[in-house]
Amino acid sequence: MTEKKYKLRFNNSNMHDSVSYVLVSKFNIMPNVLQAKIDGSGGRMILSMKGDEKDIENAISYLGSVDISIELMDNYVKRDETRCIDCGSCVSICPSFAFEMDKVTQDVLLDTSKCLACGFCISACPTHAISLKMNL
Amino acid sequence: MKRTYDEINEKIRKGKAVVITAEEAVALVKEKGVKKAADEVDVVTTGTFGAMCSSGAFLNLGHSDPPIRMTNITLNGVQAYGGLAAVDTYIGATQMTDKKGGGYGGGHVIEDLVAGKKIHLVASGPGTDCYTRKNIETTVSLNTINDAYMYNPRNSYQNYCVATNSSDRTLQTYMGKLLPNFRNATYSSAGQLSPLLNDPYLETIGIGTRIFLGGGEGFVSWAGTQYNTQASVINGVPIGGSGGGRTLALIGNLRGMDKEYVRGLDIFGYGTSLAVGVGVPIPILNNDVMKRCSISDAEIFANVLDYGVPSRERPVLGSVSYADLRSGKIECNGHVMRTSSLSSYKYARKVAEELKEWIENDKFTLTVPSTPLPKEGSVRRLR
Ligand code: SF4
Ligand code: SF4
Repeated sequence: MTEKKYKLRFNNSNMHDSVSYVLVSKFNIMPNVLQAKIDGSGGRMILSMKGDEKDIENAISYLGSVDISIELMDNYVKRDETRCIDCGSCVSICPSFAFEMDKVTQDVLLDTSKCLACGFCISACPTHAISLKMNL
Repeated sequence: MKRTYDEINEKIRKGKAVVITAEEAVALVKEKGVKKAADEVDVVTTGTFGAMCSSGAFLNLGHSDPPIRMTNITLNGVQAYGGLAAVDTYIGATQMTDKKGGGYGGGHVIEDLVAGKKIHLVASGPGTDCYTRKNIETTVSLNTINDAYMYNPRNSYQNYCVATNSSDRTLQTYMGKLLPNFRNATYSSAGQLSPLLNDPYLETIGIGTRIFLGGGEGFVSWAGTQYNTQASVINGVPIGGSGGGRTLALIGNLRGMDKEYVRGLDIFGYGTSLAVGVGVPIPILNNDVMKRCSISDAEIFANVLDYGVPSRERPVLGSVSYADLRSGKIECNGHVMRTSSLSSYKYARKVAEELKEWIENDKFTLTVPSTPLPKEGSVRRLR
């Protein structure tokens, strides 16, 4: 069982599809919508999928076939290590526990694969070390 | 056991001084006891690195031809003080740029100066018979100006509170982002490494004590503002957030500092500040000094204050140790909160290690304070 996060883009023709229902019923996937925005030209969604590697792969090709663009989200934020002072201001505000204070080295570690793209850490960082790598 | 400053300095000059960090002192005293540790160790080094808002630098920019008496001064768009002699000024850490977007302030100007970067100077003055010029716009850097020294009216707080938030909205404070409903708590102290927690009654630290300041050499110049000896004490040290603590006013040449330890900060929703690395050496003059240097995070406490209540007297929810805080999670008053440090323990450690290396290699000797800091101090309220 793995969990991966994806950015999905819908257009006017497919934005009414019930993606979650199809993922559950056809692909045996536990979906979790982390963010969703709809506007005039369609919409976008940050979706976490939990399931077998194989099922996730099948789900991705299904989404592609109905013209939903899909992109793996493991690098929404990036950190400039020369600016980071390992203060820790980002640690407790991250809803996905992407930051962790290493108890031995006292380095603030960042696991971008856990990121839910909420953007909280960008303004929480006093040295402007964190920036967007991927636009939502 | 008794040891004098002279004996210690003699050993430093011979390259024989035994120097350990305050973190290492915890382990050593645990292993060998106070007496043996005091026999072995000559100096314990401390360190801290965090936002120190009451910081800034005096600059003398040099005279132009024809000369100008500057009364309105900006450095990279950040206002500097115009009420000193013609080309003297003070740039404070929390002064912010007027430029749209913000995010840059006096702390960043000081960082850029230390980094040797060019700074855009715009100044104007009244124009007088002796200073005829009225406007100037030019570029300066640490190399082109006459003098540049950091003078920080209040640094190195002895201990500080832990901040949390009972309200139902996120607060943007100088203690960082505080999530609603006690979801997190933030703190800002180097704890067991912090200078004034290792010499809590300032038995060895006084006016004239030579220190590590921003990667260069500095001195304790005075008691810091809001110097307070009235805080509640536990295990011989003040509890953070229980009425302040002792503070230090520090001075040091910007030339010789290292940009690694002088960092402009932009604290979202609050403003700009400066993170400064401060390290104070503590001479092990006797067993008592050694004992105090061995205090550990488990013995140092701070009160958890509710910043959701907008009052000077914020409610205290309880008190927790730095060992608890560093575990990443605390439980207080029935609430489980994730914790974040705002000051960098890693850099505090780097400061203490670097100061230790200086002393071991005879690059730094200890000074006897010329005058002790006050035994008593309390803060007055503005009514
Ligand atoms: S964007 Fe949000 S989820 Fe991602 S690392 Fe930053 S705080 Fe965590
Ligand atoms: S808040 Fe910024 S400087 Fe502090 S640890 Fe996180 S990334 Fe580093």
